[in-house]
Amino acid sequence: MKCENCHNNPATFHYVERQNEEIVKDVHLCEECARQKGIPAMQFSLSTVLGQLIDPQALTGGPKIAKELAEVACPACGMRYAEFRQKTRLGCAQDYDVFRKALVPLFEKIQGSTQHAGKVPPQTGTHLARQQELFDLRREMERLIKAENYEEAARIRDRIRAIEIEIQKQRNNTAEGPG
Amino acid sequence: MRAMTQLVNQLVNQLGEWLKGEGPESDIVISSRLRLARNLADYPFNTRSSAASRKEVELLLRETLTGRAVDRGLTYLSLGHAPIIDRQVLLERHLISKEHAALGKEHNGIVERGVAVSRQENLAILVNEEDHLRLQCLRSGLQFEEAWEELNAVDNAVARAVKLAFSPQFGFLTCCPTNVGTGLRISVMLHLPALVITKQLDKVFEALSRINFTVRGFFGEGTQAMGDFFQISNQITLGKSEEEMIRDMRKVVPQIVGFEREVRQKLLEQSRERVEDSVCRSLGILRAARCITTEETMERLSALRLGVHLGLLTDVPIRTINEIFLCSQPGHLQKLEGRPLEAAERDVARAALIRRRLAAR
Repeated sequence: MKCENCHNNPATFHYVERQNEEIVKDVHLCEECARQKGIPAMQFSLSTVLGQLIDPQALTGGPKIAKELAEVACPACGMRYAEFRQKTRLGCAQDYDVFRKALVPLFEKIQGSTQHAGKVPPQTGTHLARQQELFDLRREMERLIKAENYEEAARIRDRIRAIEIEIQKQRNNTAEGPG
Repeated sequence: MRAMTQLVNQLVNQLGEWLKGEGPESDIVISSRLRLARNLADYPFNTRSSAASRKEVELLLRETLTGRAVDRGLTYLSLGHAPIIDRQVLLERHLISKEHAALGKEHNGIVERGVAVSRQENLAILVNEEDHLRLQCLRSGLQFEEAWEELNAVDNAVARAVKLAFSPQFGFLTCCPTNVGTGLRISVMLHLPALVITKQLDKVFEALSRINFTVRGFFGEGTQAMGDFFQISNQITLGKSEEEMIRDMRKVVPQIVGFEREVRQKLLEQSRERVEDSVCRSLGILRAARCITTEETMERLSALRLGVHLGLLTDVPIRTINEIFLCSQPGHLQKLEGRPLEAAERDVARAALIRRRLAAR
């Protein structure tokens, strides 16, 4: 997005002009024009800038989306939109879906893009035994030992060993490349 | 706790990776740092996590990072109950962030947190900072590609072992929307005394902000610049690949380095006596002072560093400057003295340490 004043530099300052609590318009300026208009750069802390950007009133679609968002809460972590706006931090991975309508325009503004173009994590959830699984099994084993259920604990111990051997095999087979 | 203190005691007697003073462009580029922000898919982020959930994340990641899955010989230091001086030392070595050190708010910070470090201190993986994982790789001088190769391999190993929060559209999902996508922050620590003296830094900073780079203080986000050292990093994390981001940074840094070198030469041509005076005066003060603050030390060392690289100072090795640089910081100083010191006592101990190190060659 270009600065709406000089139409030359990228806009890095975004805010809404208000009159008596009513949004008059969105303003997008570059640093130089913002300074010329007497907006000192240091006045913007990350949280306030982000907080303003997340303001649904300032988004396309305005009040309708704002109302819609005000009613949703993340089913996984319970985060509400108002809280996200205030803290400008997300509460869990699902929030990215729950607040998608607000996040897409936010990313357009602060990141200049809405599509990831970087690496993809290797082999998520496929053939490799997970550390998480081992972790859960170990905890389960500890619980069983505490409960003096040694027979069941021994079974789990064997499963842990089998997974560890499997991981070792796979490590030996796949030489770690830089990609 | 004892293991932690032992390791920190070892650390204070060695020069960390970023202060080795080696690597390409090391007259101006102190260090290159790459950082990846990652979260586990199946746990709430730390904005909404309970102590129990954080504890579980810490245990899981500790096991992953120090075990066979990552296999880099990392040592895990639990920070929640670590002595404040130990945390201070880790911060001064740039192994943990200011936030992670949580100095001054010992009982408010997240207790279930730690850092896994490698022996050479080039890898430092923060657990339960803002994100569940902050993987960092440090190199002295300008070495992005080398750092990325190592960091990427560690990241892949972690991703194979635990399920990371990732979406095909938004990439790696982070607590703060400014880190989403690659989660990659590329930083360089630059020593820019000539641009400071000639008051040309504003020009550089303005140009940088125009292309979405930021300038941070000596200890990263929200900290002051000290002794003419500045950290420059990218702002945008979404929409570009890691390699593209590194290429962009690769284009930017040499320009600043070139500018600083050019101005250094001009300074030398136009006001050699003044520069020489400032360098030698600084050496005189460091050799003679009986009482000196961290800020003044950094300022004087910055002048010495400039003097060495301009060939004005031949009898002080860069290694000694770097050693003093690190050892004169409050945490290191107290660790080396073996007891807690008040600010005024530190100034005296610092001056004595500097005199000893400068005489010891």
